[in-house]
Amino acid sequence: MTMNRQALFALLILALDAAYLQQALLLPLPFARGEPGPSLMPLVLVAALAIGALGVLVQELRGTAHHEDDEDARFGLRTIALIVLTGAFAWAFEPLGYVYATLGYAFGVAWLFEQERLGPLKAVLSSALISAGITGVGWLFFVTLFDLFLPSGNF
Amino acid sequence: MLADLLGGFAALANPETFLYLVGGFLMGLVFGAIPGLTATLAIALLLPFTFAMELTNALVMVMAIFMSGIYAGSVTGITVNIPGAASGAITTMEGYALMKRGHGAKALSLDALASSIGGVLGAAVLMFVAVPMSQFALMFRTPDKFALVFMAVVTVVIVAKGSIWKSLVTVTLGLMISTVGFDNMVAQGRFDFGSANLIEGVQLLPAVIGLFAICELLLQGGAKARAAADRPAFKVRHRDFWPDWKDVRDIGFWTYVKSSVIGVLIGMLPGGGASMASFVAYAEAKRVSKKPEEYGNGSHEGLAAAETANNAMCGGAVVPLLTLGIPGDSVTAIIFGVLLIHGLVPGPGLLTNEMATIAPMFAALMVAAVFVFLSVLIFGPYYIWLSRMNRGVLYAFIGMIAMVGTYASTYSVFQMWMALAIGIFAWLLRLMAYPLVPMLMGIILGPYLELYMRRTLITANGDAMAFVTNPISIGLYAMTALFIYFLRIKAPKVA
Repeated sequence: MTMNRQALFALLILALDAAYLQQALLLPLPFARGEPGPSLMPLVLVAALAIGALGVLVQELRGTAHHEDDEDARFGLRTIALIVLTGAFAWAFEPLGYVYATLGYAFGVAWLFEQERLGPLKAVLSSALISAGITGVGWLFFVTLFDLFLPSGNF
Repeated sequence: MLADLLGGFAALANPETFLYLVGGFLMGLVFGAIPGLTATLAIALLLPFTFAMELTNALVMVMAIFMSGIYAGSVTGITVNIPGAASGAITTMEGYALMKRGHGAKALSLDALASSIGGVLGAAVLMFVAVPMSQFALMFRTPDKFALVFMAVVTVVIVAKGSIWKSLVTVTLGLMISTVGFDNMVAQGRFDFGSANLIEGVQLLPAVIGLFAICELLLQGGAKARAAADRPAFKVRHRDFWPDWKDVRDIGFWTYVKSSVIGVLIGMLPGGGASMASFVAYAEAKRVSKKPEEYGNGSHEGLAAAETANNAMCGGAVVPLLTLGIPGDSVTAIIFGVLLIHGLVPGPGLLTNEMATIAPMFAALMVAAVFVFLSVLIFGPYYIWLSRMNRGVLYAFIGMIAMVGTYASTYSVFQMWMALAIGIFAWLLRLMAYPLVPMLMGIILGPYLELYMRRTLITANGDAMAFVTNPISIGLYAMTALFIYFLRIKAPKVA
């Protein structure tokens, strides 16, 4: 029996399940008021998730799990950078407005991919052009074509 | 009635109406193909403009958006592994596998042909058997609807590739997400942690964007440039998008017909929708397939079955709306609004009294289905081009559209955060080789599963036997058991 990352992840799912159960138990119990109530489905789901996660865990600990590689799924530092950039975009979207926030976000994302192809310095120019183009296309699409509201910033 | 139906086609010969049809078709194509944007959003955006439109033009445009939007959900799924809509998830699995093997043009042509066939057959059913079939749908009681949704959930778990335990985990996580927010039967908030934003629940749009667009962006962050360069570098010409008739013969006439029937029937049931139609048709095609080992790895048959069913669903979905006044999903709910704006009340009398007014709608659905096939012949090479697009441009564009699209359709920065949070969680699941499609299906089907379960128990005073007393319910559970037997217990070993 060995604890691998799949088994650890199954334990994480079980921990999430326990947290969900704790919240479900704050709701009135099923049939406490004569009808199924809002906690019935969550309690059924707690059991279902526990069964699924335990199934994964047991297979992993017994070594009977069949691992199929997901060729696209790899961890990379660039992924962390993309998460930070996307979070920063959401955070800055209303205060900075669509134009500045999108220019920065599109530049950052484009640079992360372009530097691999062109090198860090050349990628700056290419990413600047890409971000300007994408910001313009987005504006045309959302505002000019479909007349949707996008924030203009708190200036 | 036949004269009215022919009159519907004649109405499309009016140049102005025809332009609305083409405009709606292109609008649906754009919205359906861009991840995070949907046919629902396109029709919702159109709704205010229909005030000023002539009724025929409004109905024609809405139906064209519906058909092309459902089809286009699979285009970016095949080319860049991001379905533009949830209904394209199965097509994505099979189509992207073909794309990676250099058969992108073939995948797109089979996809368009199947969509066209399904769309035309669905529209034909709508025209000729709308009323009798809606009578059958009327026979479904609440326990039967529960049995149907339950069958869909089980199907999702058993059809997903890989570990059944992992599928069970992700479908349950999706169902759990669907329980967040205000309970729609009693005045009770659930799992909202006192947040005013969470009390409304997790909306479908940020969920879809998180699961597919943001997750894909993050996955590409971990992929080497070579992986993208490995994508097919073949030359494609317009003629490559003509389907190979040998492939079509291999798929078989019966697969198209059966998948269309499944699509229409599921479309007619409230909550059915394109996603469920494609899943059930796919599972059924796999069950009877001579090559089940190809499923999940680029099966022509699986792709055709799923895509035929989700476009056939369009015709079926309109049946309960027009004959019973019950919109089955978000798109038909908005179409309901379009009809009301123009003084037409959907319901039993509508087809009897206003058939001539409604007929162009039927004709538009059928013609738009034919346009689907024509569109791949015209735009096919440009779809392939999406996959070879500069990665900096492609992923900066997807990131922008996903996040700004979420904001523009909800006017909520919180929903942008929600899309990101779901995207990160989905990325973790993918790193651990958990399938994501069951999770999305859980989010979509969860509210219906819970509603029908609770209603059944309430009307039976808590007696659980109520779930298995109706013949239709029993039939659906029997079908579920058959699916489990043929797809899991007796499943052929993959070579």
